[in-house]
Parts: sequence; structure tokens; C-alpha cells
Amino acid sequence: MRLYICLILTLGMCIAYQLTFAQLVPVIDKKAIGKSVENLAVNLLKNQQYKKIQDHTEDTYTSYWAIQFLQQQVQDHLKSVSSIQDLHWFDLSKSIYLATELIKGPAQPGLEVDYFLEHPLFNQHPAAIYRELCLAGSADQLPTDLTSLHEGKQRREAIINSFHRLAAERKAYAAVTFQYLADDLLLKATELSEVLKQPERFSITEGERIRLHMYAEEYLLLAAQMLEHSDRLLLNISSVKPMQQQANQTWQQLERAAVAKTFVLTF
Amino acid sequence: MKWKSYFCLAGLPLLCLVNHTLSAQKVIPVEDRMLRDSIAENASRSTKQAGYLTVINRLTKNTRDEVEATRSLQYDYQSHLRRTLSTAALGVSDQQSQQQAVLQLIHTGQHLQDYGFAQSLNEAYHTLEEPLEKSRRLYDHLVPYDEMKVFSDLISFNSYQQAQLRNMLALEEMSSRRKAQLAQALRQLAQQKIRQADELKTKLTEGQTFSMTEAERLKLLSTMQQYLLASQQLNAQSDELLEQVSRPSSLKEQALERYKKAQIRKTAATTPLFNF
Repeated sequence: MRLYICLILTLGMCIAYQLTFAQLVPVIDKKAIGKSVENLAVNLLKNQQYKKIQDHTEDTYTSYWAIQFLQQQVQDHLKSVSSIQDLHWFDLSKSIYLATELIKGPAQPGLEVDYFLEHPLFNQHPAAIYRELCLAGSADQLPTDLTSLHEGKQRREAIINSFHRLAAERKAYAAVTFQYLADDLLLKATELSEVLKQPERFSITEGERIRLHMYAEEYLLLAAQMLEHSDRLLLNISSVKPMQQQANQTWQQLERAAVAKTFVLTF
Repeated sequence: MKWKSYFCLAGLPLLCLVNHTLSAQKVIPVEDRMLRDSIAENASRSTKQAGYLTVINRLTKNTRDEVEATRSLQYDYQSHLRRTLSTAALGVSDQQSQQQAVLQLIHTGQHLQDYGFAQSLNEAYHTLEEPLEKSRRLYDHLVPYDEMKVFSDLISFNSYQQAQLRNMLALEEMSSRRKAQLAQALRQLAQQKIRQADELKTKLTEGQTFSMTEAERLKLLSTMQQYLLASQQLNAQSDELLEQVSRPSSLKEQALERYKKAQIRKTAATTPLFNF
């Protein structure tokens, strides 16, 4: 009995074995192999092409990245100020200071009319000054008697004199300012034309370069003319008419006083 | 008996295996048409794809070359922007003489030192640094009448006026010297401007010399046009300055007149008088 069971089992195993390994009958299909080889060769060729395409794409990517980098760099460069930071042009505070002082001018009490445009009295002062200058505004009465007329005239003289004095002081200040500015401009123009000639310094087109050279030349001319102007302003100070009149008056008064003190010798 | 049957049972599969290995050695040639056809189809498809890939490869290569050309162009242009060679030879880039001229003009201020009688003015002109203070001092030295000063007698007032007059005289001398220099410099500049305009006009119009936008080119050309006018104006200015210098100022005339009178007086005093 046991033997039969063993036999059945063995037969079963044999059948199972046959069933599992039955397909593994080695066959050869030469044409299929030929086609496969052909396929393989073509696929290898494709692989090669893929490789090339990949290389090219990578190169393109690298170049494109470089372009992008350059653009970025130029963009950043346009915003950066470091390349002109050490130039004298970078610091305009001196010029601005001189100009502001020139606008403010030397202050004189009573004549703040053009001291500051924001001055709260700006609207009232001109009217007052007009009234003083014309002895009476349109709405005011004329001076009542001779004494007040004289006083009014004197006040008017005083205002005119102080106005001329202020103008002369401002001229002196402008003259000095122009001297400083001429110095400054010479320095800046020299620096500009030096720096423009340095290679690798600025990234600008030739048109801009030539133009900047021209500007440097303009500034030199401006500096020269400023010096001449400064001299003219200083010389102008001496020939202010009302001041000369005042000087003459003083001279006459002093001469009169001297004459009064001198004894008259009669022979 | 039992052992034998077991042996047989174990031997059967072994036999089968041996049988199998023995039969594996002989290869059966077959022909599977479906397989062959499918592989063939696959191969033809692959061939077609390979063709496409070649085309794509060529296109990618072109793209790569062009992108690389673009890159090198950009980098070349970038370095071109930093080069100064093309403008170095231009007349406009050489401003040595103009700079020297302006420097000379500034140095003419030292000429005030030549006048011993205007010493204080010279000091104010050269030593003070603060602009407001300097302008006050200069004003004090030059103004003909100062309200703040009180003079009790004629002599002190006279000497004050004399001092102002001397300061003016010194300043005017210095100024006319400066004017003469400026006239010279302006004439030089006028000539240079003409030369520059001529040079740049040629270079701008002949092409291939400069790379710039048309707007810049036109603007430069119009500037060159203006240069001719500017040169004319500079010449006129120079002439005017020379004319101012050639005519002695009223102050100078006064001083010369006074000197002449003093000399006549001196000569008269030392000349013996003969009465016939």
C-alpha cells in the first residue's frame, strides 16, 4: 500500500517536472536572431545619438547659463556704485553746501525778504518794504508834515543802502564760492579724463566715453570762466554807487569838521 | 525490498533530469514568424527613430553652436565696453594743455603777493579756508564804505580809503593778468575744438570705427556742429578779454596819473629855476 502511494507521488513529481521543464526545449530561430542583432545595432546607434544630444543639450545649458550670469552681472553692475565710489564726483556735498549758503546768503535784519522762500513773513515783508521804499503804499496816507517826510526818506535811504550792502556781501561770497568751485571742477575734470583713459575701469559705449571726455573739457572751461567771474564780482564790490555816495558824504562831513577845527589865520 | 523500491523512487527524477540534460544538447531549429515579424517591425521602428534622432542631434548641435556664439559675443562686447583703445587716440581725450591752463589761472592768484601794499588782502585771499569767513574778510578789504566803522577824523578815513584803493588796484592787476591768460587759453581751446570736431566728424561718418547707437552718433555729430559755433564764441570772448586788458582800468589810470604828477613834482623840485 505504502509502495503505491510512493509510486503515485513519484509519478506526480515526474509529471510536475515534465510540466515545468517541458518548454525548455532549446530551439534556434536564426532569422529572428538576425533581426534581433539588427535591432540591437540600430538601438546602439540610437543610444549614440542620444548621448550626443545629451552632450549638446548640456553644452547649450552651460552657455545659456553663462549668458544669464553675464546678464545678471551687468544688471547688478548697473545698480552698483562701487566703481565710482572713490571718485571726487561721488561727493557733491561741498558743492551743495556752497550753493545752499549762497542762496541763504548773509543775513541782515529787516531784509529777510529773500532769506528763505519758506519764511512765514514772506508774504508780509515785500509789502512792508514796498511801503517803505515808496514812502507810502497805495492805501496809506502820505506823510503828514515835512519832518515825517524827511524821516520817511531817510528810512528809504537806509533800506536801499542795506540792500546794496547785502548784495555786495553776497557778491563777495559768490566770488569765494566760485574760487572753490573752480578748484573743485579742475580736480574733477582732471580725474574724470584720467579715469576714462584707464582700461577696464568703466563699462560704457564709445559714444558715452567720448561724451564724458567732452564734459571734462566743458568743466575745465567752466572752471576758467568761474575764476574770471570771481574776479569780476570782487571788483564789482568797490563800485557800488550808494556805498560810494555814502563814502563821499562821510568824506565831506569829516572835511567840514576838520575845517571847523582849523583856525582861520588872518593877516 | 523496501530499500530497493525507495532507491527506484529517488532514481526516477534523477533519470528524468539526466534525460532532460541529454535532450538539451540537441538544438531544434525553428522558425517563429510572428516573433521574427515583431522583431523586424521593432527594428524598422528603431531605424526610423534613429533617423529622427540624427535630425534632432543636428538641430541641437546648431542650437548649441548658436548659443555659444551668442555667449562669446556677449562676453566680447562686455570686454569691448571696458576697452579704451578706440578713443585713446582722439584729440578730445587729451586734455593736458587745458588742465595746465586752468591750473595756471588758479596760480595767478599768487600774483597778489607781488603787491606789498595789499598784504592783508593777499592773506585773506590765500590763507583762509572757510568760505563765509573768507568772503567777509575780502568784503571788508574791498568795500568803499563800511557802516560799521566810525571815523573821527579826515586822516584816518583817508588812509582807510587809500588802503581799499590799493587793495582794489592789486586785485585789478591780478585780474587783468588772469584775463590775458584766459584769453590765450580760450583761443587755444577754440582751435582745439575745431580740430576735435574735424577729427570726430571724419571718424563718425566713415563707419567701422566706433560701435554706438545711431542716437549717440547723431548726437555726437550735432555736438560737433555746435563745436564750430562754440569755437567762434570762444574766440570772440578771448578778443573781448584782450580788449579789456589792453585798455588800462580807471584805477590804474588814476594811479599812473598820480605817479606822473609826483614825478613831475619831483623833477620840478630838483630842477633849478632860472630867471632870465
